Amino acid sequence: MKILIAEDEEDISNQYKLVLEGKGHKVTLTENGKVCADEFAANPDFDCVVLDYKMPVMDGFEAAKSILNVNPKQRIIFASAYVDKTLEESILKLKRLTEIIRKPFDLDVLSDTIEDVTCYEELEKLNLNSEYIKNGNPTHEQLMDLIDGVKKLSKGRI
Amino acid sequence: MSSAKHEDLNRGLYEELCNIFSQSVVDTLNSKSAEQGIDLTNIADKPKLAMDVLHELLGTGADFIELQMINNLSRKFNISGKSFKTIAELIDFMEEP
Repeated sequence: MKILIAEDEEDISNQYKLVLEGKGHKVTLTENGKVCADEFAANPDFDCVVLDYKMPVMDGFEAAKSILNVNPKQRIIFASAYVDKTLEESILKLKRLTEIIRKPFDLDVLSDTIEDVTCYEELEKLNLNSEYIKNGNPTHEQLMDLIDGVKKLSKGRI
Repeated sequence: MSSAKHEDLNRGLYEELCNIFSQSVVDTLNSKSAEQGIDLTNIADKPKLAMDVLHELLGTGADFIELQMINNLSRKFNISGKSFKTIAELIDFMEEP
């Protein structure tokens, strides 16, 4: 997957890069929301964007709005220590494709979130063949739609 | 198109559903579709209606199912170079003399 990251703390962003590239992903690092939004505007071909919230020049929330203006279907993950309830609600209102991971987190949590591990586990619970589906390289949005669809179908049975 | 190829398409489309869903989910899809006059073992007979019913049952979740069907059947019938937006388009192409 192609992943764009905005994180102002170099040690943290380098850790992200190390772990994600170790799992075969292609990672582009940016040091604040403005650079990230500009990078995305110039090259919107990313599977996932990971944003810190508190950053100099432009915060993650503003960067997300700018990115979603370019591509309303872009998947965005907030990885931040500064997520209070109000911000959480605002972020989730941006798009249902926007997810949040609270710092501090284990680096595996970041890669699992990006790789949709929880979605595939949910598909298994719903009796879908997650391995077969994974081979079709679905986007996060397609996985969510599939989960919603099967839940809707199951509800109709009751 | 020969009836053998038509049956291959029907079989291939139904296999896609069976590969993605468990038998119990496929059974539910079958019974719900049958209520609307659609036999999912014969999707190629009425591809547009069949996909409309699947969309009604699964919402936008059916988009990925349709995409999987198109990609996998295109490979199976060696027409991967062609681009199809819907199963109906793929069937139309296969039925062209």
